[in-house]
Amino acid sequence: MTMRVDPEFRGKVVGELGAERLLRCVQCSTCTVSCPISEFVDWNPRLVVEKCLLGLRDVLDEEGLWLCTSCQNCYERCPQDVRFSEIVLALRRLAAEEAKAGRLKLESTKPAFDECFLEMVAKYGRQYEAGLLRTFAKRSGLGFKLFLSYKGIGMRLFKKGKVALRPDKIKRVKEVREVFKRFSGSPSSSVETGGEHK
Amino acid sequence: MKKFSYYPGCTSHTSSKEYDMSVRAVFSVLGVELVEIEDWNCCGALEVESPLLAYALNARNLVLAEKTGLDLVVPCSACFYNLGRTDYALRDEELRRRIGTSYARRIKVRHVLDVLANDFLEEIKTRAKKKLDVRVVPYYGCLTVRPSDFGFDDPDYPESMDRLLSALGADVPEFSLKARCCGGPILMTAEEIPLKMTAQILEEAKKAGADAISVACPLCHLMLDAKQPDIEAALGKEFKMPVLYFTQLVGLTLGIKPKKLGLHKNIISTREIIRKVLR
Repeated sequence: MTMRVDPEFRGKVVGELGAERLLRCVQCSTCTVSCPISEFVDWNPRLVVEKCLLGLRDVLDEEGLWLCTSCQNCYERCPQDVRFSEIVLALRRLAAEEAKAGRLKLESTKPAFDECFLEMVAKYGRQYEAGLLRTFAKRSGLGFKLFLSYKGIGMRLFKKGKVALRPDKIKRVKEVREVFKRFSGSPSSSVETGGEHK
Repeated sequence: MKKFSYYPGCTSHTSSKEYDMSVRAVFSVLGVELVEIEDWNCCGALEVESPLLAYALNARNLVLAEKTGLDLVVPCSACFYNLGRTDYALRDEELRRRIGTSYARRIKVRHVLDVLANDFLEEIKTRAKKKLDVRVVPYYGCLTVRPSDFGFDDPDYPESMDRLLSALGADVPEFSLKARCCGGPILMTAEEIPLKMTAQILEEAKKAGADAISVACPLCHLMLDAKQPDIEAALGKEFKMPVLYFTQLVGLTLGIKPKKLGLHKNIISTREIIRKVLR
């Protein structure tokens, strides 16, 4: 394995909102033993912090970055209040930036899912699952396969009248779009133009 | 009449209808009015990577709630997490300016479980018409109790739901996985992992001899209830474990009709639980 050291990387992470406490880490591994995901995949929160501290930007390739469920165990238990779950979000933002610039290929479909999710919120002010699924199927490239994988649960919910067939649009959706325009580059812009953004 | 403002959350119209129904029914029997906040928006759930965007989305909701002058009650734990952490973060004046919000933190953000278990336990006990004669495992999940910055219970081993259910006569065993993650947030993007995570909870509940699992979060409920048949198929095992919102259980003891509590909307049949409580 080649290790690319970037002396600027640590500072870049620390400069991200929520990741300011990175340098407090004492490498005690409380986050790792508390992480429900590291039980199933090769994902070691302590090591992720160490890589950030050493400037190993390959950390942005980690699969686990997109598997964090935001359970807040690491946030809650860290004796140094590093707030690792916030660092995960910061690394996701940096990884997405790299991907946009064509320097990184994201394998996970989670970034596309999040993007589609927020597009629905910007469009209607509330979540619209049917619209989300359609957009996500297209954007993730999963297409019809996605519907097949979730056919069972979809039908079960449908039979119980728990699937909305039309969006529940709020009155002043403009205000929500304004929030998106001010605080994130992407979802609102795609709503404005009505098209998809890559 | 006691009043709260109410943020139902997006799933109250879809997958968690029975939670919304039972919350409204229980508060109504307790003589408490829930005022749904006007024109509320989605909290962003767990799909927002930018803290500022999360704060701004939820600041809008908090401003709308504050207009009512009433403390805000939230049933969904992901919504509670977002509204709660925004309220907590907005203690900072600089951040309030950056977001550009008029929210002044004159109201409190509270989870339904907190309100019912901590404010209304005696009232519920007094009004109870039926004994909750079931063995029920309490499952809190993650965001009902974490982070504890703005929490109302122990972040590792919470007990408010235990207290509430046992006060109503339920047999509530110790349950070590009660605040363990179900994996729900990655269901759509890495399905095999959350299936294993939720399977562990179902297995433990079965081992504990539970008649049902009691939950306080729509996403936990979706995983344990609506996904249960898929988990059974993947494992080649049968659980047939009813998963009820704790408000459905409370409602039953208060003598509310099962239909009004949406007990016909749960995926795994709740018939046996209804029978045991109403007999």
